[in-house]
Amino acid sequence: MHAEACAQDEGVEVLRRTRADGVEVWFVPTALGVRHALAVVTHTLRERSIPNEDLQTLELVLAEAMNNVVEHAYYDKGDGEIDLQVSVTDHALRCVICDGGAPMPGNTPPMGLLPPTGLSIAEQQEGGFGWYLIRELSTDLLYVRSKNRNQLTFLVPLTGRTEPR
Amino acid sequence: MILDLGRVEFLDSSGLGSVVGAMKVLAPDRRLELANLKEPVHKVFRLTRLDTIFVIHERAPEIDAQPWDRAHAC
Repeated sequence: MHAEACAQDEGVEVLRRTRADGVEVWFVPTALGVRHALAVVTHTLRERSIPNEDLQTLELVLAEAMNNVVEHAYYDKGDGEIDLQVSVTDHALRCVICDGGAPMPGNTPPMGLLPPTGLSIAEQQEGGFGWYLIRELSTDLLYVRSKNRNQLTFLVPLTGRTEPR
Repeated sequence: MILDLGRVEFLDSSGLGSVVGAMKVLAPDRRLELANLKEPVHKVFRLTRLDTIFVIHERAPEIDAQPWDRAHAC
């Protein structure tokens, strides 16, 4: 187990620690940091033969969850850190996202309900899809606040499917 | 107006919001349609049921196609 810095282009540093069962990354909470961290994680897991379709789902769920940390836990100020661990089990990718930012309102993740169908174009919402996507694509979602830190865990099921052509 | 998303590899909720926002700005004079969605991008539209409010083309016609790359938030 060793830690290394990677993705240092564009002045964004992501620290990566590989483990027998997965990978851990640590980075400053900005939108660019999230993009680079996701690139490091998906690259690492692709080398472990995780199917592309599952990596795409993982990347989407992690992007939604971690961009929420950047915007809502750290108020887009970027003063803090995000620690992400992804471990590979037989059936799923287990994700743990830790940060030292503000607590989640109501101490529980939003339900992320979709708006009703049949709305006019002017009534279509532009936001609020993030938590719906997280809940739709993951299982066992759990949020815990302890010692001034947030911890969000969930599983992204491994489908075992190869990418459709 | 047809938005060619052929160069978009990844779309999350913020990218989705941008596309919906563009559709609303163009309406009612012009209708925004989408083309060349890669499967991960198409999947996000299906999951959020936004594939029912956009016309999605397999391929963008030669004329009036607007290439849009690097659509994901950065």
